[in-house]
Amino acid sequence: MAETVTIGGATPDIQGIDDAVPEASLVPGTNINGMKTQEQQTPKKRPPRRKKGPNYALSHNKPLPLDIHPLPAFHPSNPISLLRLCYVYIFHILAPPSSHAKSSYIGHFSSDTRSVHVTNPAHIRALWEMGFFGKASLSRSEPTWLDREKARLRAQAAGVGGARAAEVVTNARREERRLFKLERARAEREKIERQRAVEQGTAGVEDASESLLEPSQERQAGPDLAHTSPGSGALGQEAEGLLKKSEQLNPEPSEHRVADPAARIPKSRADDFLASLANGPMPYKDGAAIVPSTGNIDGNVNVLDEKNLTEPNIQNQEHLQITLEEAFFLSSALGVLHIKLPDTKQQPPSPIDLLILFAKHASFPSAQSRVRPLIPVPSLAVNSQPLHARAVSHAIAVAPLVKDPTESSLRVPITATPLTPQPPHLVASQNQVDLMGSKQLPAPDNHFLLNYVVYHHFRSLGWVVRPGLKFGADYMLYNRGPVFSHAEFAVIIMPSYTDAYWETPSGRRERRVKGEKNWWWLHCVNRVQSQVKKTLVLCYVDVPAPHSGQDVRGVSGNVEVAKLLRRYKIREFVIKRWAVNRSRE
Amino acid sequence: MADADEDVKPRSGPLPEDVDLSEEIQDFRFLGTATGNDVKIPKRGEKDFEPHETALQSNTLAASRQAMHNALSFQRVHPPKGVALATFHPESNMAYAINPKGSPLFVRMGRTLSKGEDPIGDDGLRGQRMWFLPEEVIYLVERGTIDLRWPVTEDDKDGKGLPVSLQAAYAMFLGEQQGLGGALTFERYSVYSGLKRAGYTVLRAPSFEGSGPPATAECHPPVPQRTWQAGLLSLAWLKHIFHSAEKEDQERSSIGIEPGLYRNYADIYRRLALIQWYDPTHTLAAAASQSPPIDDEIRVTYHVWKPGSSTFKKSDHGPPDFRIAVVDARETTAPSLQQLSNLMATLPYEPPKAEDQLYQKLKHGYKNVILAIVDQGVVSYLRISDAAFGRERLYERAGRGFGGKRGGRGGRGRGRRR
Repeated sequence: MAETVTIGGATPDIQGIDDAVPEASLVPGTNINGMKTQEQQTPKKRPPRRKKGPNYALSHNKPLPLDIHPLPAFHPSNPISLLRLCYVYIFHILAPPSSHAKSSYIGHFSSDTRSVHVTNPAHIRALWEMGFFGKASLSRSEPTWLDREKARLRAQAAGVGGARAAEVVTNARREERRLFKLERARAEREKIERQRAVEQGTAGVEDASESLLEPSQERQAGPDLAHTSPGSGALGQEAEGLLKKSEQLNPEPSEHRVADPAARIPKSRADDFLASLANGPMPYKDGAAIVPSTGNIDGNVNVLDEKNLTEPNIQNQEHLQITLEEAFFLSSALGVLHIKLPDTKQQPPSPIDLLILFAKHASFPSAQSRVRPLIPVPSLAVNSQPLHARAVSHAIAVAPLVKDPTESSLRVPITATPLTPQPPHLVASQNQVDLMGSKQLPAPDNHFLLNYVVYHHFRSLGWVVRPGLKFGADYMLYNRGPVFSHAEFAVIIMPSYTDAYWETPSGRRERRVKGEKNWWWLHCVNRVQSQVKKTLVLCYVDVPAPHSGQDVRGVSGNVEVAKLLRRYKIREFVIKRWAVNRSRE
Repeated sequence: MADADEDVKPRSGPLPEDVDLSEEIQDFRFLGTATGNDVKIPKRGEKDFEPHETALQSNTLAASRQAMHNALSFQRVHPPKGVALATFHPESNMAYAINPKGSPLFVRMGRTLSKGEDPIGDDGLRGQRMWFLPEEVIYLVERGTIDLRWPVTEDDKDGKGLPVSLQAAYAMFLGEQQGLGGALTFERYSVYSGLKRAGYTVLRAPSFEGSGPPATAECHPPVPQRTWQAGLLSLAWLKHIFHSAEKEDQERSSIGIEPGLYRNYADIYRRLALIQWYDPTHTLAAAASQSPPIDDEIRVTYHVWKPGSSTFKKSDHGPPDFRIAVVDARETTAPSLQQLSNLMATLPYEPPKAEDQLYQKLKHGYKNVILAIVDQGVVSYLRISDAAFGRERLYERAGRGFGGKRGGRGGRGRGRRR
């Protein structure tokens, strides 16, 4: 180390940047890293260090919201480790620490959104970090709304944002790509125009005609843009050169660009784009905040200078929404979530009660709903209170109950009339909002039951299971979590009726899934999944015959959830396309 | 970042496995450059999506069209020595040729029948008579490799019989009439000719028509060999005892994890195991043979070998590289569990290699088959494999880094050197 001090007086800054500092002395005349001495180094600029992202391995250390207490390692060479091991072992025997937190997380069941809402910020954070449960209501999945709002307000003041959340980064990238595509389309149109002009023999006046054509061409840019999907590689490369983008364009057909934003841009956007190009670079639009595009950002800096110093005081408006399957898993299988029903007078539900309740809400309209108001308008002001399920459910509970929904003009009819006529005892004639209803067990092929069986199966193997709605599947399977890697598998649940009961006429009538899926559907799903680089897994769930009563009851005579779930069988098949030409070797 | 999947842009081009150059129309202008020793697949030309009204575009299009026309109008000729004469045999709905030469195709197609099977009988030429199945006949006639004739009658002057036209060949061989081994349908023929053109060797599977032979021993996982000494000495046996004790523990009434002391997440996950799943390594031979398949719409139709397969011999095929089951898309629906399990029961057991990565193992599966779904002549291949997710327990895999240090192992047993 002494040598480096003498050589050219290397500053601590240069030493500190690189982590691995070799201890061997090096050739004099060079720095410790083998670089030239400082005099030769100063002209060369160092690239700025990339900011490190959040340490996900640290924050998502636990796969489930439970604590483990492993015994410390035992080193035979180190006798003190043995003492420590004994101490911890005895401590665990005398005062065993628990895997569960002292107080469970609180969730509120919402019948209208058919989900469980978690509002406590600490609980939200814990449930998201330990197992990726739920989805934040105002963010893409991770609860980042508060941070984004604060960053946005700060950005409005300062003009440049700090650490950006996922949605912000996505929007920025999408905006870049949109601009790039517009530019590329414009370049191609120009090239075609030039070619046309050349052939028409007006080579002499081609410059003049180009400039004349351009403004009038932009008027027709709208419908033109709708058709032009740049497909040829030569033009694309020219556009690349224009924007110095490193995007790779292939001369391959763009049949996969189904959602080509350039094709859907209406005429006015193209005009706007060109107008704003003249004014300067257009800042990205972030969600609800529409920053004026005529570049008066500089004006904002002076106005909000004082606000810049204090953290903007915003109340968190978002909550975590947990699907019914996740909620059932957390409360019944893990026992860390306590679910509160809207009617606070009822006692906390037992697992079987929860199962019946969730199964009722498996389909829409739910089996016990009536046409009734969602938000009694006068009693809730949207801006003053956050719309949490707790508040809404409370409002429903205390709102005056109207038997005939067509009478009053107070509400907006939310639920459509059910397609199948509801049994008369469920239609509005009761006086209580009775969510628990009857104690009848759900049908064995109930949608919630099948979903939950598959969810529990994959969770118990260690996968992180997330809803797959965004990819057209039922579930997405992640190895460790969405932040670590892309999902590898997309699961689609196929109920199968192999039991002899379902072949009988009454069994056939009672089947919930009556038709069979066809081959085109299967190919469609397979294509979608392979486009996003996932493997399709067909998960067949063998639906048992309706229970006889004895096989689901435990010793005490009550129905047991474990016995109910143990009757199902799962078999998975992986589907992949097989290419004839690729499998020759 | 969270749910980064949504940011996955639609790829700028199709995936490598989706690009099937044979499905695209080639630009025949580039065929001229394909001469020479190092012949690669000619590059496709550029694709235009709308008329530009430029002379350049229309000229290019006309040149490509002309090139294609020239290529297709090339007249094929047969060398005089290479003509193979085949005779149609109406009773068995097949055709035979005496020692056909002239094409390397005959190495892998056709077979000589034994004394008992040969419909004509055991005459002097039986050993040299090669019989072709209906699909082989149509394929060869389409290519022009064989010269198919009707059976000889007294009227024939040159003793050869009338030539069979292509329409007649299609009419005779496609349809309900049973050949040796089963009827040929148009869907099956589409698959056959597609695979043959790609270079594969395609033979009929035993379950081409009917349910085929019962599942042999190779369809079932091997019974684990455990000798007495090996069982006692291995520590794995001890662990097995522990696990079985835990399994009995799990016959509990509740599915919940009781609050308590857990040393690692693997213990917690093990307690969560509740749902029964199908384990392909544990099916017993006795149980499978008792239940015959009731609905076999989906059956293995063809055995396929790769073009470069050196182990294929006509006399002794060896195990096929792929098994194809042909399905008509308009007549059937997506497979049900019953159909798939019956299909899987007839397949041999091919487990993935133990040293593979997790995803490779899951995608390879324990049994696999390729479904050829034919929709009015358009064929699409899907590979279905029986993956058993339950056998790959993520929580038991090393290197996941959960729960901090791996101190739990030191506590149990004697403690090992780090």
